[in-house]
Amino acid sequence: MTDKMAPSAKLAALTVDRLITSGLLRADKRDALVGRIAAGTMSGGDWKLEIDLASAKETSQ
Amino acid sequence: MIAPLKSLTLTSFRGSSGTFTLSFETNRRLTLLYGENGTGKTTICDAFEFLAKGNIGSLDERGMGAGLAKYWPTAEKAAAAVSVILETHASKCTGTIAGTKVVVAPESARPRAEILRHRRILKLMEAQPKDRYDEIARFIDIDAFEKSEESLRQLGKSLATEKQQASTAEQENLTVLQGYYENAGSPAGLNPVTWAEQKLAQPAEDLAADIAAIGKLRTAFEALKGLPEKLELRRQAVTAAQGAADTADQNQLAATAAVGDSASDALNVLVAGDAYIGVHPNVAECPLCESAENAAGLGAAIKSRLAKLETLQASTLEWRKQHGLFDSAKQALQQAESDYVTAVNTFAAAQGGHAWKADVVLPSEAAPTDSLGLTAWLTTNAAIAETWATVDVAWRDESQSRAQTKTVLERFQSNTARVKELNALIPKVDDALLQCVEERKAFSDGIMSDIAQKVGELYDLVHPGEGLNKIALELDPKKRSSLELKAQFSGKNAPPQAYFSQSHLDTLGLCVFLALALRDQPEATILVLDDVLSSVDEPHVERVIGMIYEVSTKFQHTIVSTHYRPWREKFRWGLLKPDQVCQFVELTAWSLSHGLTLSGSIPEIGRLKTLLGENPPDVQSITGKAGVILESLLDFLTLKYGCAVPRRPGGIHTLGDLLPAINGKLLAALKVESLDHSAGTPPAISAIELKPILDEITKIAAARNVIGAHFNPNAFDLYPTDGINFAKHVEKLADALICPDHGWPTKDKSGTHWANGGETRRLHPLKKPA
Repeated sequence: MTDKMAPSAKLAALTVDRLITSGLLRADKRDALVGRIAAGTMSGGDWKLEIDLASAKETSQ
Repeated sequence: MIAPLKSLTLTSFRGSSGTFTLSFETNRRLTLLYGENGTGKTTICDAFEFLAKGNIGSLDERGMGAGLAKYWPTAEKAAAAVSVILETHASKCTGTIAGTKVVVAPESARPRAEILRHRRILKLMEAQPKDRYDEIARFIDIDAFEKSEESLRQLGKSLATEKQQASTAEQENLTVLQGYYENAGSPAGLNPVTWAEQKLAQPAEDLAADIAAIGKLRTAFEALKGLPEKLELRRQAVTAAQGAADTADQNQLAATAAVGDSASDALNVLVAGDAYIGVHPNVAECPLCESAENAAGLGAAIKSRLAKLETLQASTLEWRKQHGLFDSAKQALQQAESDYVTAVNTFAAAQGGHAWKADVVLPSEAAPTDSLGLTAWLTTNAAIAETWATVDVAWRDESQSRAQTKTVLERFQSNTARVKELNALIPKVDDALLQCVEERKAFSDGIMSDIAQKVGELYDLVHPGEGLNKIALELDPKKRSSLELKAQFSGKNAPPQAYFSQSHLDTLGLCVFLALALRDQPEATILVLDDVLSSVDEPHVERVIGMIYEVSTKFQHTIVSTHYRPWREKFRWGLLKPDQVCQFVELTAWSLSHGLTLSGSIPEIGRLKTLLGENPPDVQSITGKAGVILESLLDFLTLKYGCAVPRRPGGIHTLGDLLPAINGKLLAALKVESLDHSAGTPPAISAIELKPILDEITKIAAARNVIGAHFNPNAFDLYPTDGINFAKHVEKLADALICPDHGWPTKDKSGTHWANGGETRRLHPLKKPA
């Protein structure tokens, strides 16, 4: 019942995991991405770069 | 592991004018503060808020405005005198006032606390959805996440705009290429793009070399064009200079002849002597013969002789000048002739050093090595040279066209690639945004659902069948930070405020508060409920109490203050929820001089034991207390077994009614098993037959009325030991039936006996024997 995690961080973790599963973000950057999204510091440029890199990684595999 | 509370000590704080200490009993995580209004219950609740939140909420919203810190000390006490000390079995923290702030030291020992007062329930239930949202914001505060989500949303929009712009530019580039392609005659088999690509595939260096070569050729031809005039002028200059030099020669010969041949040589010596005397005016001797004889006046003599040779001197200077000019003219002519050779060679190199295209017309003969033939050669080739300018311009236009085509084609290709790239990227960005939105909504809805589920569970404990799946919390999607509260009423969804009674609303508010508090580290939180039962109606109070008991097990500690007297009485008689232990604290009359005071918080049976332990014993008090307890024990047994007792107004029965009602087979069968679980598994069991105890009580029951109930002269004839014996048998019967920790055996779920919550007492039989 106790939830010591901030709501934003918990939601960011859930969302990032889902986006990783969808191939839209890179799994090896999970924790850093969760931190930035939870902190509200993920800019549009950051999103684009991460989606680009995840797509490139998926294409190369 | 969070340590249990040990004590709370207040000094000069609110109603605690002196120093007041509330000690918490070991293994009791629920403390009931009972007291009439004005006995200091809220002061104790305030103390937890003072330490945990640095504020005293009970003073808020009383129309006193700001600056309430001045009311934190007891009246007439200074802020510096205030201290609140909370001690646990692991730490101790002290709260004091510094200025208008609460300082807690050490900070690490500051307790967490959730404080609920009746006013807060009202706020929760009656507030606008926006204000109600504030209560739950900490659980669903995802502003930071939404900021990142918004960045993603804006990215999607900007990429869509960028794609639109790239598509437009791509079309514009294609239109321009179409124009170039048509200007080029729309070559068959090509489209504007393939045409441009093919055009640009040809080496650009050839055209640049052609342009550079024709530029050199034109420059070289232009250089040749200037040379005939230049050479002629130089030749004329030499002829003129030669004539002037010849004239100077003749004048020089005539001047020399006039003064003699030697005069010409002497002139040089005199000029040198005059220069010497100019520098050394006071010579003592002649600088040539070193004779001092004519030294005086030597300078004047030299100047006199030079005056006589002036004509010769002038002609000599003119001769030198004219011969110098003549030499210069000859050198200039030589330079011009050399330049001519260079220009001819340069032109030959420009013409012969490049692979000219067929459309370039060139001189059939090289420029003449003899400069005298140049003018004719230039005249012959003038028309040819003029065609080179046209060719040069055409080539430069072609070069510019190529550069423009290259620029447009590159932009077209760049925009085409960008559109393609965006066509791949935008769906992914849109997908990511969609997933963010779905997760966020599911997350918020999940929390709302969890909270509503918990609220429903708690509410159902108080109002069975009215809570589960019937309470909903909804975030209004159209309004940010707005919380709607809904409930089912007769099958319809409606705000509870629309149909619920005030008592139901208060209960619901309490359940919402508890459900929220349970989400945030309850095991490390002190739950303080300050007089929250005031508006709960009588039929539901017991269930609310039961619900609070159940919830309190989840928290580090729970403090419940109440002035609800039945709660006190139920505790005194051990009738509170039997499997929940608690500490009962009763506050008595408050005064400014004495502050808060505690009275005994001992149950009735505990009081009887205390009275029996006093020396000398107060027989009348002992007998009276034992009689009341016996009545409650017999009331319990006769109710459980449906024994026949006479009907009385008000349902009040005397010992004379109750004792005979337990008789026959029931009396013989009554037995209590006392189980000691501390001995391990299985527990140690001791059986107690009730008949011997009740028989003995029956024999001496008269002592109660004679000694303990009334002023009765017959009591003079009884021994005090009769009253004591009566009380000890009552104590024995009470100890048999009631566990101090787990209360009365009221549960019949075993199907064979009555048991209490802790299964420490089993009362047999389950049914009255036929």
